[in-house]
Amino acid sequence: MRRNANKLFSPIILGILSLFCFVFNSCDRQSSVEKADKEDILLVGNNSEIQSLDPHIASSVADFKVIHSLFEGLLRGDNERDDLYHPGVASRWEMSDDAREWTFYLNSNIKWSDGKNLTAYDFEYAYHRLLHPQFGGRYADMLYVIKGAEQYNKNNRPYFLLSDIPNVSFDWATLRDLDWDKIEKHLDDPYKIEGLSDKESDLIWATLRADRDQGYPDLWGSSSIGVKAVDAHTLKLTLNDPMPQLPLLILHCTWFPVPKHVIEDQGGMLSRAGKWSKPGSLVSNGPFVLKEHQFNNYLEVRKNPLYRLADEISLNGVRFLPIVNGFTETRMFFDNKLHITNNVPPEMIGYAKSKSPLEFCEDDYYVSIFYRINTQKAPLNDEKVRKALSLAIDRDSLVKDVVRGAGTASFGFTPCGAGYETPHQITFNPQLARQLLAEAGYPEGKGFPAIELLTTSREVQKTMAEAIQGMWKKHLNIHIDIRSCEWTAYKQAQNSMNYDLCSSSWSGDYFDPLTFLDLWTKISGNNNTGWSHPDYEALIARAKSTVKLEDRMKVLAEAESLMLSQMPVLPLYWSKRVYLKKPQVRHWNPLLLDNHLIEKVSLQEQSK
Amino acid sequence: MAKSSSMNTSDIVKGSSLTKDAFRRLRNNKMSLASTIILLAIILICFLGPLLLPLAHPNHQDLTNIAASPSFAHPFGTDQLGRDLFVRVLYGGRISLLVGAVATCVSLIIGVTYGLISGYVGGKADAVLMRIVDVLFALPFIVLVIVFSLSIEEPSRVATQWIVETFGLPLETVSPIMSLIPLFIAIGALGWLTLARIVRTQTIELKNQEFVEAARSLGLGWATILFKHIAPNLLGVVIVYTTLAVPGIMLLEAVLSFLGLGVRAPNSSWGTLIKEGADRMEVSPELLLFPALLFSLTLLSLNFLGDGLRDALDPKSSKKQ
Repeated sequence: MRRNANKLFSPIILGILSLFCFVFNSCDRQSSVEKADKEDILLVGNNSEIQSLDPHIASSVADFKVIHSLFEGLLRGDNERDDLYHPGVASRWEMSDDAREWTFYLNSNIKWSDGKNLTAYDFEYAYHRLLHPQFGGRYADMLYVIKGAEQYNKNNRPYFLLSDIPNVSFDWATLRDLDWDKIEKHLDDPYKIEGLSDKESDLIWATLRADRDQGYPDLWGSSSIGVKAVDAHTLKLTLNDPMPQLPLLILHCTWFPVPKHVIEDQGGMLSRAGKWSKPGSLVSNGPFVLKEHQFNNYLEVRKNPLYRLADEISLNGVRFLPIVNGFTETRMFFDNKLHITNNVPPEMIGYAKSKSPLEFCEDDYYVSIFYRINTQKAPLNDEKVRKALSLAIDRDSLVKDVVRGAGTASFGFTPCGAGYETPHQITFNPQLARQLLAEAGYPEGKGFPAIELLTTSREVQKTMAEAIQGMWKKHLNIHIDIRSCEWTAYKQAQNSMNYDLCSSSWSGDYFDPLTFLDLWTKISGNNNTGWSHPDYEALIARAKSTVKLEDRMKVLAEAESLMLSQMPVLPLYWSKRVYLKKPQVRHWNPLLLDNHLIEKVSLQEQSK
Repeated sequence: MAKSSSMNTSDIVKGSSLTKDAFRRLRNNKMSLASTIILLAIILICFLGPLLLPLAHPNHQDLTNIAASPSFAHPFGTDQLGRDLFVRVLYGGRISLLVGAVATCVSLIIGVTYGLISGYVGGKADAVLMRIVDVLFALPFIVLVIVFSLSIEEPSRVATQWIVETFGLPLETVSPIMSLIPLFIAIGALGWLTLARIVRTQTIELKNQEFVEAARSLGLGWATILFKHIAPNLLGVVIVYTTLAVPGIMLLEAVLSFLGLGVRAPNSSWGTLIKEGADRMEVSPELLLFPALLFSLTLLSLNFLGDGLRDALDPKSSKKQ
């Protein structure tokens, strides 16, 4: 005991370290990539550990990538262009002249990976589940283009109850402005509702009371909901507004079907903790099926022999590796442990480029890097403070020196593209920033309370955060603490708005500025800033119902200007996607939305 | 009686005291001597360097001069944000050494008191106290430290705000110190277990010896006996343990900072500097090299010094030499 524990402590650490070295080095004479080449397995760096493979719960890019390889929606995207689509589960489709009513005819011999037939009912079930008011799907608003979807998701019961009553004169438009909260409280002592006849008023009371007495049954069956499985192979969608671009929208995973029979078996529709999306019970309909998931090690999918185009898949499987640290990932790539990396940290760009120019890829990407602000918390609830913070960030220097040119400094929030002109609204002006900060009550940064900047543990974000921390110190004389969290904790803090500032990024779900601007509406499940503005809601609603492209873009630009004039977020830069790719990987093309169809990728044998 | 006591004193002065003996033995141990000098040099330059030399601020960024190689202006080069690495290593050393020293002191105070009481009181109390130590030993140390430092994060934030408001100190000086306090407490409060056991064993050995009997028969209180008569006799063991514990604790701080739980950006400790350097070792190896070099030197020196002290203070091992 006298030769105390510390003498033991260091050998133990040394032992562990050497064990690590042993494990990492001794693996092979043959590298992982060579082995994978032989087995036709693609090794992909996938950023972070997945949170869920349930398409209705997943919300991070890492999840979506895996889900894309496991499931297939009505239509399937294209391997070379972001604005093309091909038949998926649906073999053909029709739209009405006003582009509001869509009918999808499903391929009749599509099967789930357990051999059961996939029917239109699975789609209806999927949309029902995501929109169910008690399910709490974060991405439910993706489906709000469907008629009645928003009302159903928000549990707006009168909307359905009253629109289903036959032979009455009033319709929902005339009833919308009634104070429903008040009416619900007075169910047992009804009064005459203004503007309606006695009979109509009584009818409303009776309908609502009947609903309550029946224990608030699920209203999904209402005729006012625009999803209908006509028969096993026909799915009908009715939209709120004309939407010729619907096919591009439904390429997103939120529109994918889920296996009704499995979910019902494993906890039912509303169970978020159901085991159906775990290895062993996950049943899917895409090109691959889930084989194995080792936490923090890898997730492997294998070719789905029941996929409709199984014969055309060249790969046998894909391994997704959750590597958060870009330096590690790049090192692993050069050590032949990965075919494709998720990203190259800015500081390694020069090194990677010179080491292997042919494997270095720099693609355009539809993404915006920004900081969310918790607009509910002092001092950030003051617009002036938020503006001061934004004005004191030198974005050109950030892009040049920290990101090392792998992006463009933001002058707005939404990246340009898809016919959209981003309004120029963000500048660097430390003078004005100081003035605004003084007006907000913190001259020279005096008395500015302690606030925290939350980042994930990605080293790029940390460097960026430190650079911005330095700029705020220099220009505004305020000190910000940086807290870097592991991904799950970070996501949880962001979703529960338990942060002051939070480093974020948003990559487009579809190729349209709406995917960025939709975020900041009140109903958006990914807003997480506490900011909303009635005019903004109105503008977004107007944009959604405008068909003519130019006018639509103008309305959206107006909305963005309004949002940026209040600064609920601090846009930083529009990033490029910088990654490394082995030469034997074929058919992996640059895509703005990064939705690569992995089933089209092949590994070409290298001549030795 | 008075005569004999004066006789005794002069005897001790003439003879070679334990301390004197120890120092002589330590001086003869070349490794320990060299370690002491290196250690002192590192401590001096870390704490006095920034005060005496005209150095840049450790968090001063120069984005036009990123990841520069060592030069006259920046002896260790600059990091990914153009900050001078030499200055950052010095300031990082301050934090690492400080964590080592303070956390050791905390565990010293708890461990010695706990061990003394447990050993001296004995019986059922001893059994209970030692079982508590056993239980704490059985828990995974690093996990405990992580849980502990996370759970006092929020209170420490509140405290920071309070200090800033009450004393009007600038946030950027208070905040880094406050962010270290959870670390101090966590490491210190959980690092005393071994020491408590050592001290307890020693106390049991000592409490039955004649000088303690004598003190007891003179009617001295238990506290006096414990702290005046027993504790000084433990000094040797405790000093050795401490020198050997400091590197362990500095290592733990590095591990925690490596995991992102220790020092907060933009401040750095050797642990965080090494982590940042390790990420970038292909691109700019000096970012890893210099902090790692200083850290290893310090740890090795402390270990050699500890070894030397153990040999020097242990009369039994000295007889063999």
